[in-house]
Amino acid sequence: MRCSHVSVSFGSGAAEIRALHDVSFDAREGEFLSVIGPSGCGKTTLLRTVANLIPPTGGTIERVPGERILLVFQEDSLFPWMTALDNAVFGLEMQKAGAGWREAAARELLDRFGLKGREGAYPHQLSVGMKQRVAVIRCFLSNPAVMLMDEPFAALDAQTRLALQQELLALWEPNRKTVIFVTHDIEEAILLSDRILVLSGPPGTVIDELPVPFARPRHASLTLEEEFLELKRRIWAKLGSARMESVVP
Amino acid sequence: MACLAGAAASGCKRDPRPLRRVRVTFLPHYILAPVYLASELGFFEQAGIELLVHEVASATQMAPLLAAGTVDVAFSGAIPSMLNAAAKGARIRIVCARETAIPGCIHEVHGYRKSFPEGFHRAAELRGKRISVTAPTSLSAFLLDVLLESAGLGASDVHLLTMPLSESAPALAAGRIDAVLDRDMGLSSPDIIPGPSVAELLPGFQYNFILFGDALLQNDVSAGAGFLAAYLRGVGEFRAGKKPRALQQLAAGSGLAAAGPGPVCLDRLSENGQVDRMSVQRVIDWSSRKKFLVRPIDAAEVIDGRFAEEAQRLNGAQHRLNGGQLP
Amino acid sequence: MKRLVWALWLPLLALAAWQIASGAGVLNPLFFPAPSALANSAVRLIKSGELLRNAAATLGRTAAGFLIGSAAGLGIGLLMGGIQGVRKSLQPMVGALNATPKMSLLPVLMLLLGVGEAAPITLIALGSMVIVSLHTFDAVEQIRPIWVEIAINYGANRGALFARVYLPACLPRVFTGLRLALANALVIAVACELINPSTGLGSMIWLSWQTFSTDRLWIALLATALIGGVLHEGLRQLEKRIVPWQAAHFE
Ligand SMILES: Nc1ncnc2c1ncn2[C@@H]1O[C@H](COP(=O)(O)OP(=O)(O)O)[C@@H](O)[C@H]1O
Ligand SMILES: [Mg+2]
Repeated sequence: MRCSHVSVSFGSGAAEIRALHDVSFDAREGEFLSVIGPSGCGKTTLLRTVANLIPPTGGTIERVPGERILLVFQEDSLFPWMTALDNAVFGLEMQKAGAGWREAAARELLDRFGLKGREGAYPHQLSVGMKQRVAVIRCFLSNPAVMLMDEPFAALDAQTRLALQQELLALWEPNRKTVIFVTHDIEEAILLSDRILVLSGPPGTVIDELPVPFARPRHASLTLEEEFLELKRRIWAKLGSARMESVVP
Repeated sequence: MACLAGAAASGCKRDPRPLRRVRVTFLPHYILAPVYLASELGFFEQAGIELLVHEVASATQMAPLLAAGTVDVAFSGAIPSMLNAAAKGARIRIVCARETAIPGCIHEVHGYRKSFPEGFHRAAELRGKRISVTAPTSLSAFLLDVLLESAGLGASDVHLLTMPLSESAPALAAGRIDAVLDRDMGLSSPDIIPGPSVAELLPGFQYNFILFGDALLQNDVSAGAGFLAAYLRGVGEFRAGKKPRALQQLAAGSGLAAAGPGPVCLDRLSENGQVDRMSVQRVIDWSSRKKFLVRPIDAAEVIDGRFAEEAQRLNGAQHRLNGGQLP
Repeated sequence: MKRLVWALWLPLLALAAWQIASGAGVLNPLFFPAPSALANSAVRLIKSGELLRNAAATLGRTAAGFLIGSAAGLGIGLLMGGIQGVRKSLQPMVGALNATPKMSLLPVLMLLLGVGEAAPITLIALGSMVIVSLHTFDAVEQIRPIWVEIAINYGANRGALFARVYLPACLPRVFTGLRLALANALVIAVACELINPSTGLGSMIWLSWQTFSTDRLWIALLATALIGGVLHEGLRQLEKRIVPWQAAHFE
């Protein structure tokens, strides 16, 4: 999956909003890539463009033909009319997987993610965190070649978020599909990914690209180590200077 | 206190006698011309009466109003709702006759021209036809039964439909039904022709009356008699050729012939108000047969003739007072 | 069971108050016969079959008009929601029809369709169609684009998109429309029977006024109210089964 000089604008003429400008990067197979940047810089737009929900106004996106790219949305994206279980298996249902098998697979993941006994609940009966977990499970069950995740844990409290980050890694590590993970949380980006793209904007542009050298499996205690903090400081500085640049004309 | 011209004229006359309020209800119709005339010429006021009119859209609404004492007077037929209310003990009485059947004067039934290629002169022509009445309990249903009976027909020989005149008149003009039982076809169309006269079958039959409720049915007949006297003076004026302004407005609004009934038909308005017991008994017997009444009653139970008699006396005295000339 | 108690205690209290007031002579029995007397009349009217016959006639008209009109309204609403041209052509007309008192159209319909059952049923259907199509259209408008995006992202084809997203997303609002339309259908049915009496509870009410039979009048009125309540509750139960995710159902 490769983006070359991708630009996206909404509207035209005087009302034109430039959301992305000349964005180039590639996501290697099996890589966990994080995209970090301040709110409103175009991260969601980038994911939606990659997921083929928005056509780019400039540049090209190369995808491997036949490979499926799935997006976990930032906001509540479950279907209110389906139970947690039906939501979780929606992808499999669309792929025409056998009913018995898909249900068993979904139940197993729901159990692992602390939703045991809540399979029959409708989204409005679930907490925000539970809903986001079901959305992630829905994506994983579909087993796409590329997973795009748009701040899936942004709305959660610190503790739940930490737990879910660990669960996500546990889920991802055995198969290692390509993940592009959007966040505005520096720690989350470092903890999860192999590489970090730093965005500034709007319009969104890539201002830096940093490898994350820590070995897997990673543990939450990593956040206290000096190397981790050093990396965090560097990204912080990047984002800070990006903010300064956008303020100074 | 300033007295505005036209406003509350009665209150400004310094009449020592306060006016008695009488609440009446009727369906606006040219047969009510005497009421309008009596009001416009001040007859009610002279009788010490302030008239409050409550117009209704259907005769059926009158019986509850009268029985509940919401109104004191109803201008209505001797229809089953009134009769049954009286049979159930409501203080409602027929006190004055208004309209009498006169052959050649009114046509109680109208037909669709093409449905009667041989002409519509005999009741027997109604066989197999689609006929509408305003209600199975209405006077029109009663008249239809009289017509059918005269031709030896029964209810099963015709298709009976129920709809208000506002719907049956256009339906008749369009040929959707063949005949409508109504004395005053509001819609004039070359396709609508008059049918046989019920008046010939029931000469002297009284269609319409004045009914009093509890408030006027006192042993002291003076208030009720005063009201009837004023009304009957209005009848006299109308038969003498006077036309009330209100009626012309009504005619203009409804598209009825502004002239109202022709001269000969003015005779149908009763001058003395005397109620014909047989007319009422006929409708009672019919209603009773149709099970519209909780119990069979005698016409005498629902007629109170004292008021009309006293009104006659009052008007006679007034007549002499004016040297034989109505004012 | 609990809900039945909640639903009935108020009307039962009113009936009890009515009975007591009648016994005390506060109410004029000419207009307000005591409920005990009404019960006698009701038994008589049920035994003679008159009440059930008329209730069935009203119910039949209501159901026929409601089913035809709702089906049409659902189709029209979906088309209006889905196709620009249909929306632009129909929306002003449906809006205008919605604001038209339906009863005023009865004489016109009778001229066009004659004096039988066709006119009232058409009118009931028209009333239902307008309400259901507006609610359905509104429902389509309110579908969150994200649901469609997700379904497409997960590879839903047109059929799946309709069955798994559009239809269920619309259902809650459609049911609101159906509930309003059903009540409205009963109102129009009874109103038609009041104006053009033949059979049905409206005719019974009307005929009762014609003959000053206040007991029959009250029974027909109460029967109408009862049918309205039962229809409403029936549709609610159906809604609970078909739209189980609506928050309102989780009391
Ligand atoms: N559909 C749209 N129409 C117009 N402007 C949009 C649309 N979507 C996003 N934008 C604008 O594009 C910019 C980037 O938005 P977004 O990608 O949502 O940012 P982020 O996800 O980084 O917070 C913002 O200025 C936003 O207002
Ligand atoms: Mg975003």
